[in-house]
Amino acid sequence: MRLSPDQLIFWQYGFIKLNATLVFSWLVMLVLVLTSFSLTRRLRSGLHPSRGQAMLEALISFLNDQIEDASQQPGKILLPFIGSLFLFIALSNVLTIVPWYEPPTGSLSTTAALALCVFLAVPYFGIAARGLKDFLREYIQPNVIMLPFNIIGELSRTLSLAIRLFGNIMSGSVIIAILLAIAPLFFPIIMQIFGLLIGVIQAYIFSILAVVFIASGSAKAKNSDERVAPT
Amino acid sequence: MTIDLFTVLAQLINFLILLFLLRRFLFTPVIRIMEERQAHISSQLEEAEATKQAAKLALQGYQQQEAELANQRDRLIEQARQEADKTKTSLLKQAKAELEGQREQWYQALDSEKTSFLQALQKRSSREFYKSMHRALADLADLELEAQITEVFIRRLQNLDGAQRSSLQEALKQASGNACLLSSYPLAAESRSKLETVLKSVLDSKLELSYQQNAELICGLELTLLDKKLSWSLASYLDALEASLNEQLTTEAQAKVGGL
Repeated sequence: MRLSPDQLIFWQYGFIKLNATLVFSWLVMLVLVLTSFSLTRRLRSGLHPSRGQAMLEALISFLNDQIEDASQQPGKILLPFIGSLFLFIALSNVLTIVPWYEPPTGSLSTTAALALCVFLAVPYFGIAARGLKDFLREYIQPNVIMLPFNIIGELSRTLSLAIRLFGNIMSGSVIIAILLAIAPLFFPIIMQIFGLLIGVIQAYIFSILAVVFIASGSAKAKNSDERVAPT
Repeated sequence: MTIDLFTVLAQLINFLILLFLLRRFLFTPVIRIMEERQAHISSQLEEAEATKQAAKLALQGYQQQEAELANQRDRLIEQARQEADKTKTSLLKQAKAELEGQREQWYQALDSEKTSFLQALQKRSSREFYKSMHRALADLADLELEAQITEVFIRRLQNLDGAQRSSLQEALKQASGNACLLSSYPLAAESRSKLETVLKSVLDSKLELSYQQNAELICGLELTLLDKKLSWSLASYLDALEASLNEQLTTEAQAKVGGL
């Protein structure tokens, strides 16, 4: 039994390999890009948008509101990054209902890559918002002794992001695989439906945590206590 | 459960590509459309606000015009009322003046009528009185009334006081001794002789006396010396009667006017 789609390799040339994680990631990306392209091709700015456009705008508005609520900042800056994260993770998880599909988020490499993106996004948006000096000063707050702890905190929360998503999705896949072996008729379906809910919730949690981390790096805290503690 | 470094790098790149593509094909167009719609709604709201303000201003303008019209109407009504009052006062004054004129005319006509009536009455009374007196004197004595009048006149001449006599003598001198005796009846020769004798004895012996008859002189005689006159007639009695009648008529006329 495979625990990660990384293990299903279609083609390999030395260091370079084409595994199920990459293939299904491309599939998810293709679905997202094509759907976005087809939906945004006929956008109208009138007061009566089409049904699809209304749903799309409702989704974007929902994401924007969530980002603004969590970050207390204008959501437009973070919307493309957080929205892409959410849509990619959510679609990756939701597509598990398709037979023979392996969710890329069940790969620790994918979740690590996404957590790495968040890890890099924190200084990117933080420096953009506060400047390099001000951003780096946060790591020696309240004094220099806290510098290693702050760095450990940054790394650990990135690690926890990756492990949380991977663990949830991988465990779901493993449970379904085990149930298929034990009771192949009804329980896998129930667990798969349950897995859809878990997948969307995990996408939401990952995105919100990313917002919180980025916002804590971007916001000018009055003292170190106001920094959001890593989870 | 291992991390494949190549897969991590590939997924990192994959996500960045996805980020770029979704930003290009999803977020940017949708946000732009939403902002356009928001701007459109905002502009419509601003337009609506502007229209509302314009309507408010127009309403204020109309209310102001209405108030001005009401003021103007009140002013015109007041002006018309004042003019009507003026006209009323003027017409009343005119009517009063006309009425006063008519009343004046009526009074004048009444006075004239009264005068005419009194004159006619006086004449008739005199005649009646004369006739009555004539008949009475004739019944009382055998003397003619004229003779009695002559006698009375002669007694009056003889009883003149000094001032009256000298005044008459002076007037006679100025008239070069010419005197005129008016009588309401033809004097008998005897009466003429008596009168002439008495006049000459009282005034001047060179007196030239002429006789004239005048019906206006009621039952009497009148001696005329230029502007001086000496007379006796029933006129004085008739004058008293006339005054009495006059007063009576005036009282009646005033009572009639007051009753109008």
